[in-house]
Amino acid sequence: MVTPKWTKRSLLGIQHLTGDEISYLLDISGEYRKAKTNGNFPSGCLEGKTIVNLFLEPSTRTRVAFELAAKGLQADVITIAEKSSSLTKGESLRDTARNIQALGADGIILRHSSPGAAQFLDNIVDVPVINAGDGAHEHPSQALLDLFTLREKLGSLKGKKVTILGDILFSRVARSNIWGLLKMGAKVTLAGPSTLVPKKMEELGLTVTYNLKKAVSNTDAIMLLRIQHERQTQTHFPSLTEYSKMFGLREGDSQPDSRTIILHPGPINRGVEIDSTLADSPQSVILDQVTNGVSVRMAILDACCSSTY
Amino acid sequence: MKSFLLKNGWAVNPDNDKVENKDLLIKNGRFCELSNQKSNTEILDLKESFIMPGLFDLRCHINQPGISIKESLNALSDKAVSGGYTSVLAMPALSSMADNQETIFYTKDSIISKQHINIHLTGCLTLNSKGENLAPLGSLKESGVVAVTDCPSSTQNNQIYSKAVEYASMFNMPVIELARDLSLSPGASAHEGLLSLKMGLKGYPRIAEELFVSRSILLSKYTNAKIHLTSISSGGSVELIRGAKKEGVEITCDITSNHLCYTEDLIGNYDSFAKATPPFREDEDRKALIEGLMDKTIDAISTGHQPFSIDDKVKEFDLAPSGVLGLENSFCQAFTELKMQTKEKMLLLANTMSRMPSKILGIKPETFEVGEKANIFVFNPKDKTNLSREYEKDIGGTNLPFKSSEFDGKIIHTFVNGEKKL
Repeated sequence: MVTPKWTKRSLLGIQHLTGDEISYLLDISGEYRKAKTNGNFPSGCLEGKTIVNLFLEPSTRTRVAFELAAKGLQADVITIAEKSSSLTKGESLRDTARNIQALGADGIILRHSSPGAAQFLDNIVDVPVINAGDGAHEHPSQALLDLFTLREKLGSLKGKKVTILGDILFSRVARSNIWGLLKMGAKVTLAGPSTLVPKKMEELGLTVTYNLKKAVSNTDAIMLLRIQHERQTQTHFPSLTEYSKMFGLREGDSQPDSRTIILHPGPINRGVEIDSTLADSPQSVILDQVTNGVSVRMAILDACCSSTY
Repeated sequence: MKSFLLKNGWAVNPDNDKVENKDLLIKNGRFCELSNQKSNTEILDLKESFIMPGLFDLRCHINQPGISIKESLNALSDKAVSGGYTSVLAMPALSSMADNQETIFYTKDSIISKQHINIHLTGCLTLNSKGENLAPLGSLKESGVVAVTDCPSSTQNNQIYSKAVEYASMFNMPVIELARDLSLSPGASAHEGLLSLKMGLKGYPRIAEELFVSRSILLSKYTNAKIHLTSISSGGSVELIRGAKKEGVEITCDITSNHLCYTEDLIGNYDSFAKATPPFREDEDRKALIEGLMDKTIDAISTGHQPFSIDDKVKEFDLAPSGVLGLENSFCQAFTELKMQTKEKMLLLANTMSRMPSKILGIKPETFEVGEKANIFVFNPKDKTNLSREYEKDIGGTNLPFKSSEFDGKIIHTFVNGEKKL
């Protein structure tokens, strides 16, 4: 049994976690993953508790994974999506959150388009807040499941080389992963077009390169990010075709070593960030990420919302 | 009207660069020969405190008449008086936009005549400050505005801006510009740098300001128009203006006292109350602003006072409005921040916060001369001032950029047009 190392009420991001806290969450995730494989389910640590999924931005994977995780822990789950909430009637997030708390929620999982929204909510309510993505700021549960998957495939992350490729500027997944990887001792390289990968990021203790070949060779893992083409075509890069040509992961020239594993948080733009053959190859751990996502979110809910630890 | 004799104070006179031990008699609202003292005069022993010319704020957002939820006019006046301000320049976003004579007349009738402090009005540079059509600048001048501006917005279209500047110069009317290229800072809510990257906030890069500072410098150079750049925030802007002044370009600029003191660190915790226009930048910018103030590249210090209610500000950071308070804190803040000999500092502050703002607008600066209206305040450098955010809903104006702070010195009396308001 792992020793209790978790004292936080909420999970707002990876930036303010210690390496020990991250390892701790990954360790419990491992236990949930094992329990699932062995059929030892369910654990009822959230029995009688109500978890509110407040999703104010579109999401499939994260929302469903959190729902499954909470249900797996026997919590009652209520999902509120943007269009069905009172926010469309002009209610402020502050009032919505206070009302949800007043209705008796034991924890709130928030997805929101504003950076810092989870912290804002955490200042307002007394119950745990779990950040399921706040603007371009953080997406801690995604980073934890990425770290979990990396650890599962590569063992300890200390000294491992990981390249994050794509739209770093607008990506919360990138930010959370950068913090997590650095805290776990990995060597991080960021790559992509210069307009989406600020050189300034090097001040965090990582490498920035605009050379795809250099970025994908001799690395243990490549984390691809989704190109949010609805936002950046025309202003940050010329076209998807150009992107795919310059920074897409393809067989041939820009093909990574066969030992390098490939991650993607989804949804994938096939043929843009990565060719289908690579996405579906044995190197790709994209579906493992999705499966691990449930165990990791169980661990997060357990740590923050149960009274076990 | 009550008469006052101010005894044993040090009068700070930026006109002749002197700080003199001087008694002042105020009678019927004006300074008067000491020999005219009557028995009913109230005597104030100032005990070595400084007597300063009343401060003049070049950038104050008053949202009046009508939108008192952001800050009531009484609350604003009280803050001004407690901060040593006897005059403010109201930006044109009043309860309706000051792009027509009727709004100016109405505003004069409804607020200016009734208030504690002197409020001067600006008009819009373009209709509704939208940057699309010129506002009737001549008519606005006739109705009494002293400058034109689209602050806190900025006319983006270069043709309209240059024509507006040229047209305004025909009336010898200063144009005030808050330089910001919006196309380089869409949706920005913080200074663009490592912190905004970490926080996932859209950044407002220095170049967005510097490009428009350059635009104004070039326009001023080619047309001799009077352009005043308000609230510059980037070190590069100081550099550009320094170069322009060396070349003899007649451009002036100010910084806000908050930008003199603070950096982006204030928003590190997504504190929307510290979200300012322009944003607080890095320490290297702040140091460049101080340097610019010292070598007179920067002509004036303004407050950038932009009040909001608690409900306005308690929002997700990127959705909260931008703007911080300044009237109450500006003087003591600048006094605390600048490290120099006290008398020199008082002269510098009297010059940059009272005399120069008036001169930039072509208004006669406050003096202690016999016959002039007494607009002054008394400052005790040895006392302290404590300010903290107050969450009083009914009077608005809760958005100090800091939670609480202690400053050196205290303003102990303020006279507006000879009336003792503090």
